Amino acid sequence: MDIIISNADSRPIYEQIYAQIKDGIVAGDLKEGELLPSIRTLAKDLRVSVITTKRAYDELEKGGYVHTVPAKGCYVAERNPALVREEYLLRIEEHLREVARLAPPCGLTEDDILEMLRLMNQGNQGEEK
Amino acid sequence: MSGLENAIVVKDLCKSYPGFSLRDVSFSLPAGSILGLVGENGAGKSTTIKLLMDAIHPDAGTIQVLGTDTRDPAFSRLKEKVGVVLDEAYFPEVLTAQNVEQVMKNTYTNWNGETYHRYLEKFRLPDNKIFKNFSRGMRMKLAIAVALSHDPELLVLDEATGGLDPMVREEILDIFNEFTREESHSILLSSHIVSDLEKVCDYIAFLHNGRLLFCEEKDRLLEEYAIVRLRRSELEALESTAVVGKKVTDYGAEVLVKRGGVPASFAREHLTLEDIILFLAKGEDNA
Amino acid sequence: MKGLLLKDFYTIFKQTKIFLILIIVFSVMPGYNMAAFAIMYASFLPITALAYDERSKWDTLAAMMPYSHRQLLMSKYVLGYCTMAGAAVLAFIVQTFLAAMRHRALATEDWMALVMVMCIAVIMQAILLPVMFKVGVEKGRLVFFVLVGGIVLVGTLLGSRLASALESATALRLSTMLLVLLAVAVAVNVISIAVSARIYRTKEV
Repeated sequence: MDIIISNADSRPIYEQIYAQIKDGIVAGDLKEGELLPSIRTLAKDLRVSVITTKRAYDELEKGGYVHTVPAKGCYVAERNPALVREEYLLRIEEHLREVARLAPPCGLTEDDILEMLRLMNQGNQGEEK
Repeated sequence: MSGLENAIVVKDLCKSYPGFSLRDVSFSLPAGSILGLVGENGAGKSTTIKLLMDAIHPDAGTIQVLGTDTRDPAFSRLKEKVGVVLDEAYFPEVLTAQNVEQVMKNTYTNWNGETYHRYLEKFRLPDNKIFKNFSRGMRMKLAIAVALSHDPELLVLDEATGGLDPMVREEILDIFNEFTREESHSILLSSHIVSDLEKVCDYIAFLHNGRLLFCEEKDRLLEEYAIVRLRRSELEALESTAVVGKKVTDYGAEVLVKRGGVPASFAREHLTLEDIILFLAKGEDNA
Repeated sequence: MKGLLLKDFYTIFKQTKIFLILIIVFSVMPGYNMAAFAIMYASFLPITALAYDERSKWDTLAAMMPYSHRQLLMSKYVLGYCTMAGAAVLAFIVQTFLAAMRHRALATEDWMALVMVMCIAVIMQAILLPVMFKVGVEKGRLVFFVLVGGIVLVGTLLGSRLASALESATALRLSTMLLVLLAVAVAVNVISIAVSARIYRTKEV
């Protein structure tokens, strides 16, 4: 998978790596049991410090996304449905917060928004047929 | 070679010359890392390197390189594992790259001629021209080729990238990156060009007027500090403990702060390692 | 030490072609006093090598390479012995050949003189090298000139007396003198090497 480190991003580099690998795992791009590149290899390939990649991997391990086998490396952990759900819920919450922020200037009520959602879903189902 | 925690351990190093002294310098280079030794010209970087390699003797303190103390008689043999590139010391200038190979073949037991020629080719260095006529960049590249061709575990470079054009510098930093893919390989790199070190180093040690102001993980440094620009009046409002260095002009103030010590309302400017170093150095000078 | 010797050989052979030509020319000229010049010139070569070392600050780099102090200083002594011996052997061969061309054998005085000159040159090197290790080539050269001046002075003052003494000396006298000289040469070198070792121990690059 691609990992892009951006200078424009205000987050520390290890956080960016952590986030991208985590997203990859949650989205299923990185499969269960897949062996991640070693801390050192990743560091050299990305041209960042080994300390940084180690921190990223440590965070991933803490979060339960990967597990380390001594002398072998870091493997993508078993897909934990609870974790994935948690991740998706967080994202939905974020989006909802944005919707809640944008609705008042347009004069939309909660019911209006629900109606929009219903219409959207019907449209999607129509496409699927 | 496993189990070596630190490639270099320096404790309480002291060395005095008339007009300059290195005082109480202590730092470690963890195995597998790249440490950048930063400091202005005359800060003591070359002295530190000479002490490291036992070219000169300390007045006080201890130095261990790859697990061996510099005062140990076995240290001479340990130099086989260290590749050295210096700023102003070379082979006599009437030698050619070919000549150098013959000399080095009989100096280092693990000399690898194939590796040497690979680097000569990669750097486009002529085999048979004397290096009186080499540019500074070419001399550096030759020295690096030599340093890499006897299977070293540690590379020590004094101002290796100074005076090189950007493409060559990039080439060389690439080589350092590749060299440290191996867990047992470490690099000590000294320079007064902070931006070079920023790209490739894991740790930064700042030497100023013979004293080591800090030796820290580079990323943590960038996370720990921030630069804030504000009115002079706002300056008083900032907690003095958070302010690490400041620049005040008639038009305003620029301060280096510890990130946590300043309210989030203050906008943070883009921060480079060079900024941190400059502020800290000025702070020391004014103290 | 082989590496160090190689480095010095490359250095001097490239830059002292003139010296080499002079040495060869002098060795092939008839008469043993010319050969003496050849050997003396040969004794300059380690000093030239040292000068080139200084120019490129080689000492600093060498201190960081797996050479021992012993190897570093001995390489200069050995370099000198080799070049002087080389000049002497060359001179000897050529002189013998020339003499043979004149249907003569090489006179005993001739090769004895060669040996004598070798001894003096070796002694001079032994005096000069520690001085140069300690204070560098520039200041060392001053000492060198003083030495040469002294020898010339002594030579001119005692010259005629020395020459007549040599003329009238018996073969036995001459050979004893030679043996004494050889012994002195060896002794001075041993002391010199010890002194150089001491200097290197405390040397700062």
